[in-house]
Amino acid sequence: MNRQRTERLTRWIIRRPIMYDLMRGALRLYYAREENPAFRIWVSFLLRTHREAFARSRPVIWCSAFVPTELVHGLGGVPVHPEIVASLIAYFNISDWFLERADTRISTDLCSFYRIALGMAMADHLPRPDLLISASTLCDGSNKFFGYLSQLYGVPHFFLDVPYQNGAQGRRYLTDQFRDLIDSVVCLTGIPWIKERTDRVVRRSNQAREYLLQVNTLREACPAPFPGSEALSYGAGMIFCSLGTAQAVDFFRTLYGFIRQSVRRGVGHLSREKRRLLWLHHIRPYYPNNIFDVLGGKRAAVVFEEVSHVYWDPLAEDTLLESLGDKMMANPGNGPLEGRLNTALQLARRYQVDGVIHFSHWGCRQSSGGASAIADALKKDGIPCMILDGDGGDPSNYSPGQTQTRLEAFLEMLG
Amino acid sequence: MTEAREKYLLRQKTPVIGWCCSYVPIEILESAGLVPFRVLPSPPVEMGDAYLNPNFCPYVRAIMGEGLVKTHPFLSGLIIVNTCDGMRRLYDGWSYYRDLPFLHLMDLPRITTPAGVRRFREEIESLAERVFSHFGAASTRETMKACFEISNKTRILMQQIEHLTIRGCLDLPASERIDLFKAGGILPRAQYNPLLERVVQSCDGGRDPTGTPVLLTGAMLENTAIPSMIEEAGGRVVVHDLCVGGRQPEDLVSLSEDPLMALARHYLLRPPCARMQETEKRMEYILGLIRQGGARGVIYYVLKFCDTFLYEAPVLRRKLDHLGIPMLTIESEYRQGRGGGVQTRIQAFMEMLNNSGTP
Repeated sequence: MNRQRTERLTRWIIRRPIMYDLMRGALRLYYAREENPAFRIWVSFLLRTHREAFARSRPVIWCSAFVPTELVHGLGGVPVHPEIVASLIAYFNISDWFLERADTRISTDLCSFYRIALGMAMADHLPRPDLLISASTLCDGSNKFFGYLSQLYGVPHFFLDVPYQNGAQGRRYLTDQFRDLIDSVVCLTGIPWIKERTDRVVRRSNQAREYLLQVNTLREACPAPFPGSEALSYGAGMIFCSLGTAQAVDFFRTLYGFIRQSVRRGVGHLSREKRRLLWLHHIRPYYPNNIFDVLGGKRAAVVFEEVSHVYWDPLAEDTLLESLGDKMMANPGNGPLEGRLNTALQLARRYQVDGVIHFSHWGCRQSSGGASAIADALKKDGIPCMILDGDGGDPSNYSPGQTQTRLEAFLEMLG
Repeated sequence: MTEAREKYLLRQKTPVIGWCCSYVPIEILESAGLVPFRVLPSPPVEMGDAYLNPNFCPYVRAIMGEGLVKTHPFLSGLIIVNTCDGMRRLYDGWSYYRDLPFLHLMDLPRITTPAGVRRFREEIESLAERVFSHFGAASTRETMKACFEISNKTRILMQQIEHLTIRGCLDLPASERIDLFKAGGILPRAQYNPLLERVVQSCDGGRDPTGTPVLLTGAMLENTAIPSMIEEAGGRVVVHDLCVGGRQPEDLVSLSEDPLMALARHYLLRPPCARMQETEKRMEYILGLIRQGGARGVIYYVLKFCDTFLYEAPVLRRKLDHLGIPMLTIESEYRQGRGGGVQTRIQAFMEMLNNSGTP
């Protein structure tokens, strides 16, 4: 079947809510033997969210990765994260379909997740947004790319300008923006912002957070009970997309139970773990790649990753807007590099790693720009760090041979 | 001119504070008797690669490189603005790798609402407190207002030069006009304003300008060969919107309100660069420039890896396509000279414009 027909067919399929019900049933059977039940919850969550978004029973709100999803659930909307959808497309190894389209409009030097998302928007493969919400954290793309989407779709773009540093003045500035945003969105959608709903969202978010904290504690175990490659895929996906939902609580509770079993049995995800690694960046390459096979083959386990670190305090029901603002400002990637650098040092020590891999995603200036300073700081602390250049979404920017050579050299250096 | 000025700065004793972005309210420095100096690094840029990343804005890498080799040894301090991810990491780079007595990052709101203006006032106040405390300097409401009068004079003169250019009254090539505006970041106003006045007075009363009018818009233009190439190809850079001149607001800094609020309002509410969030406002501004100058085409100059302008480019192109106005995008690696490829593209674009006769 040629590409055009395939695209037409996929467009037809994904826009039909009933297809998600069928897929859920089929995937339930397909993944029945999946060892980790939390993974099945992730799949179910994805299907349900997309079904709701295409069914348009509630406002479809596209948001950038670091906009707290609790806000969208509080507004009564269905959140769609174009960057996360892009990572799924890369996972299914069809990102080139959409990159080809996007690259006729925007530079290939930009983040491939935004390029894929643009290509999907151009191919009408995404649920049409009713409005967009993005924030200045963590990157320029989440401001400007969403501005472009706003022009393409002709829908309003609401923007949260996150102050560079924490402080009372910044907090007030951000809280005021939340208030204005909520007023405007409520006016647009007609769905009121009601405390009963927001309190429920807060309770669920805090419950999920609590389970995630416990998961993170379990993952200190040696050997590492849970692979970083999976935490960087569906673990990160749930952190970005689901907080505030019942499914998030279910997921992290289930994940906790699953990992606890492994820890009790003293079983690692790698047999004969030889080296422990920390992965820096919120993403990894999602298209088929050999990174984790190379690491696993050398008995090097990615024991933890930056994206799973819980940096925010529990949300407060009565001062929710301030809490959400605090959560955004507390992100170690916001503000000066020392936030991220200190977090890297802390995690490296906590998880007793032998080395750190900083994944520098092509087009991700906010992270790659600080990689050298972070690597130098880790080295001063006696922790070797390797900067691995690559691309999270575009396989044409990936060189398996070169990556393998570099990883093997790093591991050899670790001894 | 730059060399002479730098030699002078090396000899004199007053602290010199570098700045990298035109959103820095330099009147704060001037009012306290400090010397502001715009850091406009020269290529090459590779030195910064080891400390930032090769796929980084070359302007940022060039500043990093200059910091490492201490190209400006007279600098006692540097103010960086949180304009983009690149600048944010430049600040971090200087913090970790360059030992400078005073380094400050000023947070710039991306929104121009009243809350944004109030936020910017807070940032300006914070900058003033830090700079005055560090250098033992001080400023009063009166000294600030005296500074505003002089800086407003600069603004009036620059606006006059832009208007005279549009009317074709000024026989000044675009490259020299841009160099003239760049000089404002280096020369003291006591020297700069008379220079601008002489240029304004050289106006010969008007003639029919030659050349197809174009708008040159973008970020940091280091290569003034670009406007020369446009003019050699039969174009006339009738108006420019760059981080080195242009984007002059019609309003001046107010003398009647709280000085810090006046600065916040003036700088934040000026015609926006692509970094600001309100894309539509920027589009209206650019379209206004096109109408004002009668531009028949747009040359969009962007530095490689500059996310804010690279994301903006398709938005502007879409607008211009609807209006039938051609646009040429040039991506630069922050180099001097006349790259053959760029020259050819400019020539082809101007040939197309010259032959189109589109009003």
